[in-house]
Amino acid sequence: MPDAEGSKPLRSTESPPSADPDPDTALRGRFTRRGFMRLVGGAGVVGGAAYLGVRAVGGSAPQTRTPGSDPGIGGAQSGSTPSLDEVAEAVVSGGPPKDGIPPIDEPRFVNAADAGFLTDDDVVFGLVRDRQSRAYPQLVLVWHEIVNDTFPSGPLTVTYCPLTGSTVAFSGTAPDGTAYTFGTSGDLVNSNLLMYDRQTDSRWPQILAQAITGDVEGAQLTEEPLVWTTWSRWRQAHPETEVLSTETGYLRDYGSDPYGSYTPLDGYYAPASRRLFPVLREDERFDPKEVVIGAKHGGAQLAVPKSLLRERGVAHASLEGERVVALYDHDVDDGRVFRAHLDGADLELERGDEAGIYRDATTGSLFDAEGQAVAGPLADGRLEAVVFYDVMWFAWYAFFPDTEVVT
Amino acid sequence: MSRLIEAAQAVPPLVRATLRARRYRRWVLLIAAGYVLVYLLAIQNLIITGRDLSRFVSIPSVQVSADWPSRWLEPIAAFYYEPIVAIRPINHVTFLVSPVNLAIGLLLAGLVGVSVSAALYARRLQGPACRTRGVGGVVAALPGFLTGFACCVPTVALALGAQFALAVVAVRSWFVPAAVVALLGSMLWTGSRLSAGRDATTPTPRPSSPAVSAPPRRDRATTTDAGR
Repeated sequence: MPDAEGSKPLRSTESPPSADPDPDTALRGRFTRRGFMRLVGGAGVVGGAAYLGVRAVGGSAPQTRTPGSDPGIGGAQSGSTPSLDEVAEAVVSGGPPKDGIPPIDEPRFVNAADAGFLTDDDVVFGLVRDRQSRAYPQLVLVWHEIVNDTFPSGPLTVTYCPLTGSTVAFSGTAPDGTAYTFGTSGDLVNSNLLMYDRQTDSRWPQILAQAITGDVEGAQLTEEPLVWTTWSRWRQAHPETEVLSTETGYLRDYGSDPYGSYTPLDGYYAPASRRLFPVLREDERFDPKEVVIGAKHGGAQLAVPKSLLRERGVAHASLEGERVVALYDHDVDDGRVFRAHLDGADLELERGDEAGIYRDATTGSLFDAEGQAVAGPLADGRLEAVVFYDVMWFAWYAFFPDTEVVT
Repeated sequence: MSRLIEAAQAVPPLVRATLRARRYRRWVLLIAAGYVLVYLLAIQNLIITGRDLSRFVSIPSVQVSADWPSRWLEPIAAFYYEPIVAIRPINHVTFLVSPVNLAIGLLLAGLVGVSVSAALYARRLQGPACRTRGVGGVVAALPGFLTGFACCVPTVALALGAQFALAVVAVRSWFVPAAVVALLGSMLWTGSRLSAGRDATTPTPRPSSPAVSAPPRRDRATTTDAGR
């Protein structure tokens, strides 16, 4: 039985090509003539950047990555998963003070019809909870990174890290029994947003979802998937959706993105462009910012390149002995990952005849891309989702070098 | 040390004389205005964009932050504060008003304007031998442009690229103080050049009134400037 449609087998994580840890090489990489020219050039463009806006500069043509030339902490290594202590030691300042990137604490939402500030191609992060669908525009979150939101079932914090292209929602209960709410610490680790909780002031890297320092060190948050899609796709799939408004209580140049552009893909977001901050682990199987669907289940992790899932539609993998399946959702152009079991039966899903419909080879049941069984003996059943979200490959690997990878 | 004191003593009368001369006073205002404009553009408080802003707000419009009394002193980064008013006079132009950012910009602009104009004035007084053309003032002003901040990365780090991001973050908080110190240093340099030039032409210097007691040719220049 194939692991992925198209008969390409799943390949477990192999020992990756090691990044160059030679400090001399790294040093040479940092002080090249090109680097000097960039410094001089950078000074020269300051005036120009001022006039044209930072986007024009930050969104300059993506640079091809030179292996080993990126900054690392004592030389990025491949292999073992970094301990919490190691992650904590790798925290660097991103520059702003605590909440210098202000979280949205009183989010306002508008109806889809009133969201005229969005164009069809604008990226939104979609979430359905308590039968309410909400869209969080990337053009708002790039300036705030955190939304402390509330649903009928309780508080939920929606987060987005532009430097690692990851969006995850969190919930959790502090030792005092109250629900966690979060702020931005101003620091980064593996280029990833380092949050702090307002109940214990502990530090939580977004991708890790675990406290690395503070009173609740080691505690884990409950993660909830968001869909990374475009406004037109989300609106079509969820016409009743609410949209996070630009009336955030803060005055920002909403609509501009200081890092680059997703439509078209440019600047910092281009797959081969350089990252800005050091990482603990490096791997060169994909471009640093290749988007993968990162999934977690039972202490193990999986990475499925989004482009590959888009092409094949479905991919199977095994995480700590349990089978999971990634399905491509044609409607929203994103992937979802589920446990490949239902009612005690192991599922072997493959592409169905219609786009976005998958057939279980064992029972003949049909499933949609949201894991809902729509026909066959398992009809009305629903697959259990694991934690999954879009993320840049370099960041996923930096936290989870032991990740399984579908290639 | 005595030369430094002489240079420092030479600066106030030089600045006063510069500001009294109408032509150089105009230069001060022109340079300061230009600096403020570029400073606000550099820190992204003045934004000129090709995007259609009418998607987001009505044009023209003035938005005032509801929490402005508590927000205007909230730092986004070192020497960089929350805007509390957004003015969009026409489509494609946004002016985010932060009183503190504006005050910092005006302080730097004033220093740059006076520094460069005083240098030009001193050169006019003492001729090319004075060896000061205001370049120092212009260069000293540059660090102030680098204080802009975009989300979690200094804008200059985005411009310079990956290899400098950490270094820029580490030193960024010093950019504004460095600009102030460099501009004051530039004026001291002009003062020292003026003292040195006077020493070369005057056997017994009078430290208390160095700049304005110039030779007849320079007096004429001063009078002409002041009369314009």
